[in-house]
Amino acid sequence: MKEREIVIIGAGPAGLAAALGAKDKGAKDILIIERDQYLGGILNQCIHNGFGLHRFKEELTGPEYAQRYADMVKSAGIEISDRTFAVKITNKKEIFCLKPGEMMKLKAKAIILATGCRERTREMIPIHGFRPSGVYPAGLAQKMINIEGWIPGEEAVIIGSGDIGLIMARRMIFEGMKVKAVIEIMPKSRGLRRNIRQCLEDFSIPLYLSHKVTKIHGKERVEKVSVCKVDESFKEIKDTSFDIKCDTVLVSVGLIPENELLEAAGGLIDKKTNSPVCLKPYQTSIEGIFSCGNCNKVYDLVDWVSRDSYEAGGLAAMYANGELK
Amino acid sequence: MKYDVAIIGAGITGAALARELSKYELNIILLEKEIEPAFGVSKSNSGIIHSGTQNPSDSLKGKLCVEGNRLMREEIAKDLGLNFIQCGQLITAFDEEEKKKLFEIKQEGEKLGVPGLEIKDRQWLNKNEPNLSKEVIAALFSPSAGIISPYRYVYALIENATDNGVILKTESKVLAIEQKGPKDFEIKTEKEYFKTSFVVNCAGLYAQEIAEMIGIKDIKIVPRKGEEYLLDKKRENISNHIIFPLPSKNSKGILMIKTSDGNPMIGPTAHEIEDKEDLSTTENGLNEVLEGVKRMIPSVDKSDIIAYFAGLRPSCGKDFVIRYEKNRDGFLNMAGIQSPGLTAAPASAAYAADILFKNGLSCAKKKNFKKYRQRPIHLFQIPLSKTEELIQKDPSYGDIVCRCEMVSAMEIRQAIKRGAKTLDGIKFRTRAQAGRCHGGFCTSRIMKILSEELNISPLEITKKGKNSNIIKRIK
Amino acid sequence: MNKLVCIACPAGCEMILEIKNGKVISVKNNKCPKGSTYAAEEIESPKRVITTCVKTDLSVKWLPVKTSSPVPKEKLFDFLAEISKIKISKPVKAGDKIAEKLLGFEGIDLIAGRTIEI
Repeated sequence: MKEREIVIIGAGPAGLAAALGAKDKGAKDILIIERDQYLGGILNQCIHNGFGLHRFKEELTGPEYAQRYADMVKSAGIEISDRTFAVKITNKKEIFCLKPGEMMKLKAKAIILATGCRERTREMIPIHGFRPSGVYPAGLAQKMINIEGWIPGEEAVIIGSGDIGLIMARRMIFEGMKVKAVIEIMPKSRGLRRNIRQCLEDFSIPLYLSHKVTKIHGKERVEKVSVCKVDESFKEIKDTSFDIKCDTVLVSVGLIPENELLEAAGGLIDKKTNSPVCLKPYQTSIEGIFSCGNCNKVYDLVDWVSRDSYEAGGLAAMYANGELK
Repeated sequence: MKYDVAIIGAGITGAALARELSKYELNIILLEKEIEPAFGVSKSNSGIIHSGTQNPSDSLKGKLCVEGNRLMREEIAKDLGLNFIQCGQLITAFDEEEKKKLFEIKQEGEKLGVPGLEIKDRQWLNKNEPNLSKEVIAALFSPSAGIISPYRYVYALIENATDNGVILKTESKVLAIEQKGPKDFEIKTEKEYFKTSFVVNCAGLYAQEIAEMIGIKDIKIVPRKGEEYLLDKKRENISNHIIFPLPSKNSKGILMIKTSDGNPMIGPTAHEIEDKEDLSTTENGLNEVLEGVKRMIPSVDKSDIIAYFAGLRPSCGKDFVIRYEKNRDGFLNMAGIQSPGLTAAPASAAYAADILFKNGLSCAKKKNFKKYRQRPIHLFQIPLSKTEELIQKDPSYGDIVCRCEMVSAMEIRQAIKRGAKTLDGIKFRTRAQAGRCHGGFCTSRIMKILSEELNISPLEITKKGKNSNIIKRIK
Repeated sequence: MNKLVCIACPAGCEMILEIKNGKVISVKNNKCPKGSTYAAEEIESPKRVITTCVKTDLSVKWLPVKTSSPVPKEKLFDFLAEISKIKISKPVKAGDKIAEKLLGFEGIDLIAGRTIEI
């Protein structure tokens, strides 16, 4: 078991900012564990702009924002273990990680969880019907297009009008796909108004508010979806059902903090939000295990993730050297 | 060349028969219309290895179920390296009237030879099944029941059968069968022609169509749909046994099922339908399942559900139809193999083999039959210390692809070597994409590994075979 | 009276404009001066920044890129087609200009969004 001062799990925007925060508060020995080969996490696939207006006073794309933090962390000399996957942490602040060819066993004075979030799926809504290919979480479609250059289909319907769904509508149009509709069960979109304007209205994509998809059709590949209007309690209004032909369905119905590591270690999790229960700022119910970024709560803007995670990193450093009471 | 036996359908029944017959000096071909085995009825099986209760004592399926259960416990799990968990089952009674029925079921089960049946009282239930509704007054305990992964059972049988010489042809839908004479058939598939002495129809939902090809008209398959809902692994310990209500006329009811991978499962519904490909789930089905299971385990919550699917039971009357067609000498039907078909499979196979031998199939045993199949490694089934050893031997066990279920690149490559060709095939074999995020994070990585190992373009990768491609275009 | 959602930043102000002869005369409800600039441009000649990816021969297969300034909205797809012809074969640094004067437009260059070393 190798002893470390601070171990940060995740090198997305939260983990990178936390590392800088810890360094600035005097931490000498910081290790960031990252699953991927690259730093920046999900920002790397968010190639659209709109990041950094608060933090850097200019409008950046996701990769640009990630690159700035990656450069800062590298020039601060902070150690990173990439392609490393944390499989288990304990309430004694032990960390077990797998990487190709090696299992790392660490014991930290403080752990910072910066594991981000995952997407809610069709199964969680649930959206009934068949289970053909062509139904993707919006983030997966984003990764396919922006990281792999794979175009998932020809004609898409997007379920949910959160920002990821809206951004993907424009992205698919740019790649030559058709976007037939965005279906939102709420009477109002959860997305930014600017995204409705520049991602939907610019391309005349209809947004159906107070509507839901009742069935996905197609046995092999998606063929169409059935859509209907809903009342205030989200129940189907009779005789409002219609079908939209499509071969692709993107599901963009919200994000859930990823806290399975903490939960397995015995940390308390709020059942409703899947966020850790924090009695002190950014500190989970297990003393010395901190949490920041989207695994702490789902944020709208990465700028605030950076700001708060920097603070969390500082607190973890103070905890590790005994300054935090 | 002429085969001795052609088996149509690589589901559990055909797979078990292929493995059984591979013990003998025979040339066997196993034909499957889907791209991978177990993609039909078997893929949506609950995975219960039934004890044999809830079957009439004079039924064929009852006898084969009890024998199949014994074979699993005593031989097959070990020989084929299967993760069989003998957790036992409880049939619950909510009042005195129902409790009387438990005694009837117990008596019927004992006639069939189901071992160890006992009626358990409230006190025992408090201790051994604490989440059970307090309204349950007694339960019939069957210790021999257990759980298994249904598709991994099929894959194990087929791997062992092919290791012993059986030829597996997938994407080989049978289009016509012509009988040229006694024990002389020609089978036409989408791609090829095959000559064979014997034909065994294990075509599940399509057994009727196969039988009709040689003029047998009395096999009528009625699909009965069952919707099942999987709960998060976090609820793994919600029950200690498989829990049943009292059976109804045409089904065993809505159950609380443990699964061998940890996720509890609730269901299935039972509704006769017409479309043999209608695998859709419905709002009504979900409500029916939740209502049924909450009666027994009140703490089940809708928000625990992480996945769902529907399957079709190929029913053909009340019992299995395993019948040699005297007027079509060489043709054996194995139709209407619904529950408990998975449990019964090895016994059904031995029973069918016996019929074939009586009708002239050569029964010379193979001297070098390989009884064992190497158990695949799943990191989620082993302790971290063992994982550490594996990584030292093979670095790519440390390359985690699926974060929700902890599946390594090595396991995915192994699954492909064992026959996986599709995303669903990988999922069934390894559990990658089967967890909370449903492949949101790992799908593209798995596609890249498939593309590398099979030497195909990502464009050709499918979810489950023909027309289910994942992407349409590469930029 | 016209309503217009500002897209200059994530705040998305819902502005109220007064327009005469295709020109914006007054802008209300905007929280910052970017709003009035955007409003005038949006009504007179709307423009959009393009973000997309271009192919590379490097360790990262697709390089995220953006235009250095907004392009005329009616020419969005012409620019996209032009950008899709570009291929990167040498290492790049975030901020590098990888193409200049796209479609001959002065001041519209293509900027690399990340560093790819090998």
